[in-house]
Amino acid sequence: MAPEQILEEFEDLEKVTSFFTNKFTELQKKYGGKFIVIKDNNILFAEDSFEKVINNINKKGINIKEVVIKFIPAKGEIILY
Amino acid sequence: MIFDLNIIKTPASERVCINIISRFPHSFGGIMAIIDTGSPKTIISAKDVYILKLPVNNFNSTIPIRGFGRGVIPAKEIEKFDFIIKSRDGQLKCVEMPVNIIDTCELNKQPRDIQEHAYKIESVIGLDFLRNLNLKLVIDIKNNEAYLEES
Repeated sequence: MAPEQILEEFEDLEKVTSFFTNKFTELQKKYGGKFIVIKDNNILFAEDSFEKVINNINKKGINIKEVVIKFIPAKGEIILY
Repeated sequence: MIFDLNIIKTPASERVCINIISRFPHSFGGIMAIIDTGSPKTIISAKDVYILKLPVNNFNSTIPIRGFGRGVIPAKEIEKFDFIIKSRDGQLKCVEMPVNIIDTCELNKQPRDIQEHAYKIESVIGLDFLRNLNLKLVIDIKNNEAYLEES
């Protein structure tokens, strides 16, 4: 695995992190309680279960490694770790 | 060497996260993991196990995890998980350490509500990560700054 490929992957992750941080409130309003699928800072779709996300990804022929899947907690919900 | 962390602000709270890249054979890809000082172990979530296609059947079972979603979640251990973190000045640091992963094969036999909840949980970086890499964790929420520093 070339260092350039790794740096590119980090760059992509940083873009998504930044998008997620800046837009969290907006995303929660729209997609709270759902999984969202993000590619190039665009929401491709949202589903209410991981299983449905995977089915949809397969149906649309999307490469799972080219998207980011995040669960957005509903407003007022906090996930403890 | 300093490794910056990301503070994700939500309306009522903050999360401190780190981006890592798995370079485990055939399972290359990024993980946005949460720094969890309440966890003694680093745990790769069910979602990330699925996305990275980690071959769960190749690893040995370990103590099931309580508190990672609902109920007790079956887990396995990768003795040498190979991944990379990036420093503030752009250097790449390769890391190899044991991590727990959610046993998605067993998880998928659990009741649906347990499965669904487990897939919502992100991967967590536990205290073992700081110990293995000899890192100091600094979080200054007020000034929106968080980083790891080699000590």
